Amino acid sequence: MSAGTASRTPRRGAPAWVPPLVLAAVVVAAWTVTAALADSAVYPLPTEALASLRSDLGNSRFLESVADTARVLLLSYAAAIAIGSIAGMLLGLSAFWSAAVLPVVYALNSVPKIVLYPIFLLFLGIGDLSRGSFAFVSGVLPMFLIMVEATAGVSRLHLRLAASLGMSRWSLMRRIVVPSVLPSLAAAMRLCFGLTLIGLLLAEMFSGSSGLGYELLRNLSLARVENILGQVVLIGVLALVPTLALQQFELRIRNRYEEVSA
Amino acid sequence: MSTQTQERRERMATVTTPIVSARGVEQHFGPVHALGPVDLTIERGEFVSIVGPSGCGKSTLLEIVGALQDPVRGAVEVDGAPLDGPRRRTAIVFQESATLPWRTVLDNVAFALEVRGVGKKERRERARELVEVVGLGGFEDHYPAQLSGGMRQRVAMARAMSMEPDLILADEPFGALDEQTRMLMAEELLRVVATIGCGVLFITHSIQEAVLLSDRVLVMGRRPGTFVDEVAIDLPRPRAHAALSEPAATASQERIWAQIRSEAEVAMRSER
Amino acid sequence: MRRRPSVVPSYVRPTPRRVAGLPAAAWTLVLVAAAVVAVELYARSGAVSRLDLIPVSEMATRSLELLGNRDFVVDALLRSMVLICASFAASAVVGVGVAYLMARSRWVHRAVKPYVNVFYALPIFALYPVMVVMFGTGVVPIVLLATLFSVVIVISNALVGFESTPVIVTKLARSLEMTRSQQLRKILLPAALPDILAGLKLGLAYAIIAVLATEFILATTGLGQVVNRAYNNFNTVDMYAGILFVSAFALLANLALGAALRTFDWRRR
Repeated sequence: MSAGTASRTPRRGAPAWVPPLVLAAVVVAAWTVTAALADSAVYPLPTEALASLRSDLGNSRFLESVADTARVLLLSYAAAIAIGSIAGMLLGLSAFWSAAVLPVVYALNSVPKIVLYPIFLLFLGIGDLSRGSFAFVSGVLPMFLIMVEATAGVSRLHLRLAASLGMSRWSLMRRIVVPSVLPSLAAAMRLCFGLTLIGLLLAEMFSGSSGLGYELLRNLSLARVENILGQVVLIGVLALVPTLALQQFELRIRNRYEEVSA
Repeated sequence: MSTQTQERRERMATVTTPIVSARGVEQHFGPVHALGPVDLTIERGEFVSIVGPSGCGKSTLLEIVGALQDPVRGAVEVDGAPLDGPRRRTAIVFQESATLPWRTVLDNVAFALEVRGVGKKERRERARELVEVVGLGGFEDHYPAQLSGGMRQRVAMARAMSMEPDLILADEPFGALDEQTRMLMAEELLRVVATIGCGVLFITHSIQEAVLLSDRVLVMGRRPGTFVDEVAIDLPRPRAHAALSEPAATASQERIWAQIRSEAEVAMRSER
Repeated sequence: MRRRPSVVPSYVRPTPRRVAGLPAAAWTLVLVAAAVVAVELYARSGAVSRLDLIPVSEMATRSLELLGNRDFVVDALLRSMVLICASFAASAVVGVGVAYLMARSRWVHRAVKPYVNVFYALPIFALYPVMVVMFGTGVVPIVLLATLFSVVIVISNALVGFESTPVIVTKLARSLEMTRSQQLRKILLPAALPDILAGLKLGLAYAIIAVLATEFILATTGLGQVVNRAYNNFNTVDMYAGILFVSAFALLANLALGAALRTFDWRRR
């Protein structure tokens, strides 16, 4: 630990990223040690997992699966964001209809949605449409809920200002509602990315013929643990990178649009 | 002063219908009788203040005249025509300056013009002029969070001016400011109103402010508010704070205070 | 009452108490009823095969039949409930404990916080195959996964609770020379309780979702598995009954929790 400098800076000791990194290193070390001690076929070392991941990534069929998942994910996420936010903003302006509709959507959201997936399969068959629309539903419901609440929270003073200027609903949306809810929108976009991804993976795990979830399950039936672990790491990275980017986006939006109380 | 404003003032001087003519206005919120019935007339270019105890319905009346509330009963005419929505030429100044925190001062001032569809170059030019007029020159690219309360209200005033209003409705616009800022802003408002020549409906808790600014002060009684007194203020314009110590001014203030005190006392006793 | 056309822009008009004579809550019922009737009629119309959709009334009757079926109640319903309680209990204890450690130690806080923040961005269910390989297809993967899934939300909320104790209160504790455990019991826990309870409510909701979802995919035990098995056996009636049952179960559990929580929250005056 460095000794305190002459100036009274609050920073003492290591910078912010050191403790999490140390924790991660400890976990990986524990994994390696216990795996080596167990010396079991079902408990591979981290290095073995990474090696099999590398070989998987060299396999064109596996890469196709990854691209497949990525493609469906992007489409369903974009649709969930767009539709959820617009619908949410439109409903949020009406306190009466929000009160009428929200309980139903909250109820729908609290059910483990994967259990409803067979209905999608029955009506949409096995393929992109069923897993894509399921992923869409997994993301659109939370986005909708967050945006309704955010819109309902738009300052009443700003609404009265808009009214006094004779602004139309469309003008109100564009010039006042959207800037007001932008911070919540950015946070919701980050949140719903993870939820859409989980929805897609679960759907693929349940019944798919391609995609990352399907690959995971295939390796499960073949008991190829290193591949499973390697793919889990890959999924983690695929989830983490956009999430961190969206976090940065959210931070920027908050700085620009969040009202600073005087 | 632009030639447009000059022309309008001359036109206004020849028209004799009052800018606001409200008859029998009454408001209820569910079972609560909140206001009236009241009659209100404001002549063109006249500055009218309403003072009264808290909760008596002053703001409600202002909102009704501004088409932000539908009265249960009564008719309101502005500029000779019945109200059918918020008017282009009625500017409302709220107590908490309704400045948009994500826009710069300049874009806030230009907001009313933007909503009206005025082109970008023109509205920014106009906004720049008004920013100078209210004394915020140099702050065009600042954000409201960086300004004091008084400066933010000046932004609101500049925006109101951009609408070239013939009627300004001000709901305790200086209520959130400290005493010194209030005094400065009052003088500011006097200047602005003298320039534009618009009618003003001004709500305030401060009797001093009302007497300083107005041609007429209406005293509203406790809820449900009705007008219990009307005091004409005959001080010469242009006015300054010094005018408040004149005997006429002091007499008016005392008369108004006596009314309000008795109304407020009755209100307090009945609430217990 | 005389109705005049409003001059006020619609978005600032006062919220009506009724529309077409019905208050908002009634409209909620209307919406739900309309949806149920629509599905019922569509299913009975013959436009859709019985292998794809059955009428709602049949779903409901079969659900009730299931409740009377001993196998179902013991093997599926009770099993799921036990697993949910187990994972919830584990995540509650571990969650509050970790949050307390984070509140006590700056180092632990800085080490763990970033992971707590990104945790729910990661698809934890991807770990399910790993757990199955290591621990078999019994109840262990389900409980582990569900605990893991719900512990982090408990940590987030409990941490907020512990950290929001007003400074003046901790000063008071120090001035009274309380021991650490006294501080915890008499000051920290009561102050943090509303947030901890909010976290526990979410934790239980998450545990329910995680247990049912994992049972569904794993398909060897519990409520979730009933739906999976019925689907794979083309038993549409049981499948829909199972879905209806699971949904109702999740809903009721959340409602009951919400109500229980409101009685303990001292901030709701």
